Amino acid sequence: MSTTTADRLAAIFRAVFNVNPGQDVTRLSRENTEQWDSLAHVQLVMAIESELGITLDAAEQLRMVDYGATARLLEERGLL
Amino acid sequence: VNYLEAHQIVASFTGGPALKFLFATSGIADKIDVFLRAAAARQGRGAEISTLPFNTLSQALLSGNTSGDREVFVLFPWDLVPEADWRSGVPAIATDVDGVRSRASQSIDRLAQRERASTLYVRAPMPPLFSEPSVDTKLDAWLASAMADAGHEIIPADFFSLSSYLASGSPFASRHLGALAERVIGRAAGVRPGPKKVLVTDLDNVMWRGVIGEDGLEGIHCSPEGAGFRHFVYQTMLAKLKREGALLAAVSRNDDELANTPFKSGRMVLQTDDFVAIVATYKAKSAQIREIANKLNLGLDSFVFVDDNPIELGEVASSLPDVRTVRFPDADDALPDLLSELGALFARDVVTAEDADRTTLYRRRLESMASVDGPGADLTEFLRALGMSLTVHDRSTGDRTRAVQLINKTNQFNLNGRRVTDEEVDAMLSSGGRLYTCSLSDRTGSHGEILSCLIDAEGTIRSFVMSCRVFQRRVEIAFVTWLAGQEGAPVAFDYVATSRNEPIRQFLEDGAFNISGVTASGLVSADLAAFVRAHAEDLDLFSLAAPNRTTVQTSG
Repeated sequence: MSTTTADRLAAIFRAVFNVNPGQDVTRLSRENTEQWDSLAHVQLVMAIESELGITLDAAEQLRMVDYGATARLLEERGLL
Repeated sequence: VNYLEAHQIVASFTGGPALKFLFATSGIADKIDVFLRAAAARQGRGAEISTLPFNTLSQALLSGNTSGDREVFVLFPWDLVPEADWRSGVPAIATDVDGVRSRASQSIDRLAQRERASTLYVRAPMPPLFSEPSVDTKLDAWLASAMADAGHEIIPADFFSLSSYLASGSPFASRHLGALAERVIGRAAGVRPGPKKVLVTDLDNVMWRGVIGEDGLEGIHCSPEGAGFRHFVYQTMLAKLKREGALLAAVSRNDDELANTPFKSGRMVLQTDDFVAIVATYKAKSAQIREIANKLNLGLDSFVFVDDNPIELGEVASSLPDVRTVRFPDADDALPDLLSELGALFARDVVTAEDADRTTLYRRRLESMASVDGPGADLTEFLRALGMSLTVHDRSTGDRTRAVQLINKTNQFNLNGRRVTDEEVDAMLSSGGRLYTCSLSDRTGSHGEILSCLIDAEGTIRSFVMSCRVFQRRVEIAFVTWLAGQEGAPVAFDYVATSRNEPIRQFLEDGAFNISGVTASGLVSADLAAFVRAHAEDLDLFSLAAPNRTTVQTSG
């Protein structure tokens, strides 16, 4: 991912999950993040779509189980 | 506005009058929440938003408005034709088109009976319902036509996202959430649908790049090149809107003659005659806009106000909540959004000959615009809500770069227009003079060091300047009130009228200053005790931090 896109993705995770600026967001996952419920997932999808100007289909949204998987998805979409 | 920007706007918003309304849609509404709050915040409003549980829109329509709150519906075809809901798949049984239209008409009628409801209709695609595709096409057109005839706003299909709707039940396309939220908040604020009639624009850094009062005619830019290009495009957009029937007006904190000069220079797309009014005074812009509305005899809900300064926009939104406020962007890339928003606000299906000639008709009616001297109705309350913090700095020693720079670059609120060298300032300070500056911050952020005052050893204010960015905040009043309480308070102002310093002349017209009876040495005498008695309340608008004092927390 480009630095700009990576920075924006990190900012999105911080905003959606209310993570402190100094905290490492790259380790966030549905398993270890209490606030990552279904509504927060909708927010995360919306935030990424809004920020990056893309549309994520249902299958892609289901793959977003953690930060790393989300980043890989964006890489596959050519947002390198 | 995208997600992070909306999130930032909401996070930094410190409050305003609440906009309370029901946001009614059949899908999940959580996704748009932050955009609604950001759109409200951009108008200086908080948001108290209630929503419907998922898939309960039909029941809500049947039960009527029990809260009495304003309601904004965002409907999709399947809210009128349940058979067309993508989440139910394609209907298994044949659909009767007459029955579909009949039931949809009943829903549209029920909407019309809700007195405090506004409706946006997203013309989203429907799954095929009929064996003949043309019947589906006709139903789509009929629904849009019926909703438009009922006075509802039609929203383009790409505001809908099928993938989002299928995945989460939220039908809104993420890329249009900001624009949709702006429309919803506009309706929640009671803005009347239909084209706006009057576009009121700020001048400095909107109509042109630069500040005419500071930079002069040669220093402003609005030609199709370089720094002025964005402003050139904006002027061409305004010219288009005028051709299509919009009335243009301008408001500015400037001298009247100064504000008109660029339009008479032949360098602008727009000329003086393109405006029904150009109002230039140093009063609140809400007062200027209200005066224009009164003279034109047009409702404030038909007005749109464009400014680059969020404080000015907030003041107008607070005092005149019916006026639609639009921020002029500070980046070229944001210009398309502005033009798109203005285009939508003033959109007309048909342009008549009368539309094209409307400005002339209104100009005849107006003949001339008198000065607007009335204060903004709620200016004091607005200023109080800003939560302003004023810090006075004693620059008599140490770094005084900004203090001297302010004196030498400010033209309008400038005691005498006199420029000073650092050596001259140093000499005055060495002989017992004082140099103060003020910095200002409020809920919108820091405005930096915006006032500078140089006082000689005899107690005469030799330089007194303030940035035009903070006009109308009463900063100068608060500072002089503070100054009056200091040892060796000033006794006179070294005032000289210039071609541009009308604002300071107006300040010195205060009853505490004898501007009409200058002393033999050419000074304006000052009775600061009287000034303090008259303006104690203005100091209360600020949280003040000053030399030899601790921060004083005052009301507001």
